[in-house]
Amino acid sequence: MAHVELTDLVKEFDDVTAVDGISLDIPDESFTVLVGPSGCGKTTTLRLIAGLERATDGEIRIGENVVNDARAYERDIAMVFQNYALYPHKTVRDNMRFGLEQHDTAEEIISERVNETAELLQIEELLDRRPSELSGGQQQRVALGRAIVRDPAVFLMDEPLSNLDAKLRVQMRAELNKLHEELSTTTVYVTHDQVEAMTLADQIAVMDNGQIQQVGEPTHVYSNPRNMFVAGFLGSPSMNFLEGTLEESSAGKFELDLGGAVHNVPDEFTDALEPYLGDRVTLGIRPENIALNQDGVPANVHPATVEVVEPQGEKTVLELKLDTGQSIKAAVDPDTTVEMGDAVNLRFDRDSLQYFDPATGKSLTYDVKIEQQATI
Amino acid sequence: MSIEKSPLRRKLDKLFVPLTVGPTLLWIAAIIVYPTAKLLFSSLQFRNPVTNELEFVGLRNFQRLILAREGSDAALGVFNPSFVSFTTNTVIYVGFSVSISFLLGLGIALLLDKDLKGRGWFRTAVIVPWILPYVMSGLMWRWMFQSDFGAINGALQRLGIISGNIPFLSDGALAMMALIIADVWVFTPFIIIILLAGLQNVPEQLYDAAEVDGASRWSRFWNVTYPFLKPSILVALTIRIIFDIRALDLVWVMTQGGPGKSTEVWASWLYRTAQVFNEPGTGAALGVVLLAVTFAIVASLYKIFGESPYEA
Repeated sequence: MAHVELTDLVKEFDDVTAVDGISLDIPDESFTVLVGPSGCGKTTTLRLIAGLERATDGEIRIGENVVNDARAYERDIAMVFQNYALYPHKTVRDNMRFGLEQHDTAEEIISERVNETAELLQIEELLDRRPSELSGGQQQRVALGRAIVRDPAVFLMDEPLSNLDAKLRVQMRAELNKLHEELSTTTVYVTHDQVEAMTLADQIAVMDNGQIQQVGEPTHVYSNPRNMFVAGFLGSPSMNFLEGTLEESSAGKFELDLGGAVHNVPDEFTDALEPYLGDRVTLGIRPENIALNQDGVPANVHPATVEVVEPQGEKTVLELKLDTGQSIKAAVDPDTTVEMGDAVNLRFDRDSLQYFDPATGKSLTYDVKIEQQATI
Repeated sequence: MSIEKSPLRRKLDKLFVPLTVGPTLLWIAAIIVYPTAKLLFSSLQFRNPVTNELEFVGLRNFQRLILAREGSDAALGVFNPSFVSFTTNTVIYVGFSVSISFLLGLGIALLLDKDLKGRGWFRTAVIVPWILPYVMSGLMWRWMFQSDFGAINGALQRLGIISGNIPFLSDGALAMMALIIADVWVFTPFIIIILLAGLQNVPEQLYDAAEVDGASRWSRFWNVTYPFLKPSILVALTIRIIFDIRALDLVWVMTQGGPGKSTEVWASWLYRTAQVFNEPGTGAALGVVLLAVTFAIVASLYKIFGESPYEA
């Protein structure tokens, strides 16, 4: 068991900066997920922790030790690879034994640990088979087993579920959760799948362009994104962004002119948005925080036309066109009866509104919302 | 809706297999089956030098080839001394050439697989000896080993390693060594190319996994590289051994089996017997022996290296 600490970590490949000054604290026994689009530097970060890449600058600490110059096997880590990376010519048992054998572990301990781990993962009957005789899900278990058997201080997992089919992925996700509960080994997990990130993590680090955009508890980050990238990356369908000009009404209220329609800004954001009066501001609202209001309550209602209806079972996703011409998505109750071409009124849940600076992408209302949540 | 095919179309469909496979089968028969059958048949015949007629002689050619002649000194053993001596030469020549070029080729391939500067240039340069015609390489090495004005004698003298000229090609053991050196020089690039291609098949993640597992360089080679390289090793060694057992070009150009018969190998012996001494029957018998031995070697190579890493 150990905590992992990254300080100002940089990794450059020739002309490309893959990791650009990352600092991240991964607490002992936590399950931390690095999530981001491909090329964001998450896998490189993981490989830096593993010791498979050497850092250009910065510090990596595992437990009490700075491990920048330590070889991979000296770092007391175990890694699960995207393509499992099982030794194809070795049996499952030998795959699991291999790491221990390299460290001159006593024979009795090796077989005991292999058997224990196989039991934990329910792969005892596979021990004498070769990887090619296993299904993808079974190979995945063996890859996990090979990591667990080493009893390392830290597990590093590089998109371990991305090669499984959708159903198996959900199942393995639940099992990973259970395993972590049981073993409590510090885990760093890389994925591009935000659902995986949300469901597995106790700490999520959203990355883009080699930098960490935001770190925190998944639900916290989801509801309080620091910038438009995080807001847009987490959630499916992703957050709607509507850009307009911030103006002050004759009544002294702030409103966003969306180009034909007016959106009223809740009073609690007035102070935070004041410097932006007369400037462009982006309103962010998640699809699930939009309600259809066919009766037409007068305040803060946006008329729109239904363009696509996508029933997804537990919800129905609507693609709509606002009368101002902007496209927007709403996730509504599956019982909702609307059809293509229907004219509807949309109501945005006022507690879920976010405002961003469209030039920098920065959230303008993050601090206000955090303060509000603290007082509740 | 079912699609009706026209009668012509149906006829053509039926002819598809014979038309596509047929020519290939005929071709195989012409270039493999017929010559092999002819060889086997010839090995059982004797061409009478006087009448120039072929007589069926059973296994007598084999007997003449392998066993000592009747009435010869029993102390020399039951085998034909030429057979024993040329077989020994062949084993030495093929054994040393193949193993040295294999180890050298493996080492260079592993080196060239790394991300070294100038790797592309070196990869190209390394092929040159192999793309030269073998006869030309043979001539070049013959001149280099020449005892009076050869480059090797000259270099060794200038370096002060030797004082007098060494008669490389007129001393039995040295001539064999010279042949082996030339052979290694010509054929190592072939090994390098095949093994280099094999090294590309090793999944990068397995090296990462082995690194995390704490495998030493040696262990990484045995547990990751080698299993994936086995199919390439099989190809390289098979072709290499077949080539060397049959190799005539280098031997004929450099030593013609000499001095004496100290570098006479099966290939040159076969050529001499069949072409120079006009004994096609004995030559064919030797060819059959050569074929059988080659088969046996290839079969054992398959046994050792034939398993792909993914097979159960």
